[in-house]
Amino acid sequence: MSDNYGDIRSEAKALVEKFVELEVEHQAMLAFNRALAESGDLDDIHSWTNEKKALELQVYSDQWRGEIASWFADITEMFDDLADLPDPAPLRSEAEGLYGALALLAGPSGHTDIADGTVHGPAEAFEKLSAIPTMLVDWEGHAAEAFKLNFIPPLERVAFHEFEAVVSLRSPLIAAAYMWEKAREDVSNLIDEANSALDDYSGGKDSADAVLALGIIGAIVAVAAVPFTGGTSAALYWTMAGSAIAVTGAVVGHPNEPEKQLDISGDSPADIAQSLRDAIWKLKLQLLEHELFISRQIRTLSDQINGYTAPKGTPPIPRDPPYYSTEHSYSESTVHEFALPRPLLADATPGNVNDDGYLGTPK
Amino acid sequence: MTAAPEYLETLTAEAETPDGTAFARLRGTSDISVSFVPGYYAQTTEARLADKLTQLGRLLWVARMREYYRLKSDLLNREVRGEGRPRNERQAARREARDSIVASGRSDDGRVELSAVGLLSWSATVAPGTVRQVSEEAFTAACAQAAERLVEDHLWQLKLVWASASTGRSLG
Repeated sequence: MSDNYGDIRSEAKALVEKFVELEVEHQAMLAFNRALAESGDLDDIHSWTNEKKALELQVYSDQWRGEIASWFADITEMFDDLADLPDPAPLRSEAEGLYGALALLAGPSGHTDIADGTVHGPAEAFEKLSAIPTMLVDWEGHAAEAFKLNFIPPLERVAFHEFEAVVSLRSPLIAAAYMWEKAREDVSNLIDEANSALDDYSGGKDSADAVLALGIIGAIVAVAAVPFTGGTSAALYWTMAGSAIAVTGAVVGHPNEPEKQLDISGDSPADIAQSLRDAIWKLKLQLLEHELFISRQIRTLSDQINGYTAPKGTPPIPRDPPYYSTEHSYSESTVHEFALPRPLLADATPGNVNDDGYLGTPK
Repeated sequence: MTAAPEYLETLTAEAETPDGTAFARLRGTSDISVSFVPGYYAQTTEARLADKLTQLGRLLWVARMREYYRLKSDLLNREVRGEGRPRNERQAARREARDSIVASGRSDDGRVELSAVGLLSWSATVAPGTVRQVSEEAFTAACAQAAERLVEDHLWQLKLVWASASTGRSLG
């Protein structure tokens, strides 16, 4: 397909012009056919000279072109809405900007970013993690115990969850970038398909059965399924998307099963225009679905990071303030999946640092 | 009339009779040229020439269709082989009417007369004495003229047939 997104307005204008030209001709032929039926003089119309044909068409066009053009005016507006779709490049660079965070959070063993298959090796900062209990063998007291028991052991797990959280943040960015990239292609392709259907009409052919497959349908699929299927299996995606994006296995939404193919065809230019309107409408709906899906993923992620993912059976604690509504409720048991408890020493002052609650006093 | 898009203006199709003696070339919709292997024209008969034109017309049309769908497949980046099955009875009837269009074309000198049913089945008449009386150049020019007129006649009738079977809105 042509990659001509930059020229959408002028291409749409040319397309509308073609619709009008062919519909005027179509209507003229209908009128000639009616005249033929009324006069019953079959030979007459078939024996018109080229000059006579051109003249009759011109007379008809002069009278009706304005009205017929009004039938297609809305198509220009429909493409106006699609002429300034977001540029995917800045979204991609935002996603790339998170590489640094992933490298740091890869922990002592390293992890793979499932959004694009990048392998991040062990992070240097965690090198000494396993040696810490030995190094701190002489440190005693409440703080020491809390540090050794509650901070060091879960650190790798927490870092991994944070790594997954960043992955989950990147995934919607990549999905959004891919979505807009494909949406731009789809818009160009819709124009190509409409032109093609008009060429078929004009050449006396019905359009082929094959129909346009929307690229945006595969957009999020490809992002979620890349490391496993190379982006080829949409079916897998419907079960995959959740696991790629959910950090601790909470149930997340899936986009609605989309209209995969659109058919631009018709018996007349006006019919073809109607199928184009339907296709544009479906494309726009699909864009909305995708955006909603992506924003839901981000909210779910945000909920999980903030501990708003109550396990089953946990009485929900209402969120405060309710910035947005989800089905999640606050849970003490999951809040520390992403952030370790605040160290006790953080609140210590020179006056109380040696109290039993903090460092304690050597005995 | 509407100008055809560039890829249809420059579409080129070629045909050759199975015995390799006669050739035809089409550019755009109706710009057709005919040629023969050197020496063939001077030695042949009008009946044979007519037979070659009959074959060339059909083969050229088939070649054009193939090229049309090849270009279309390129343009749309997916394989388009043809029309597919009619989607309803109205379409089926419309196609039948299209394929039954009888179009004809005659050269100014009256030596070459062509007719075709739906551009699928062609017939040709070459006036007696042509080979002796006119040069190969004049004859092939007459063929091109007759063929162009036939295609134009077909397209005009096609527009009438195509419009008559549609269900779109209509006015005056």
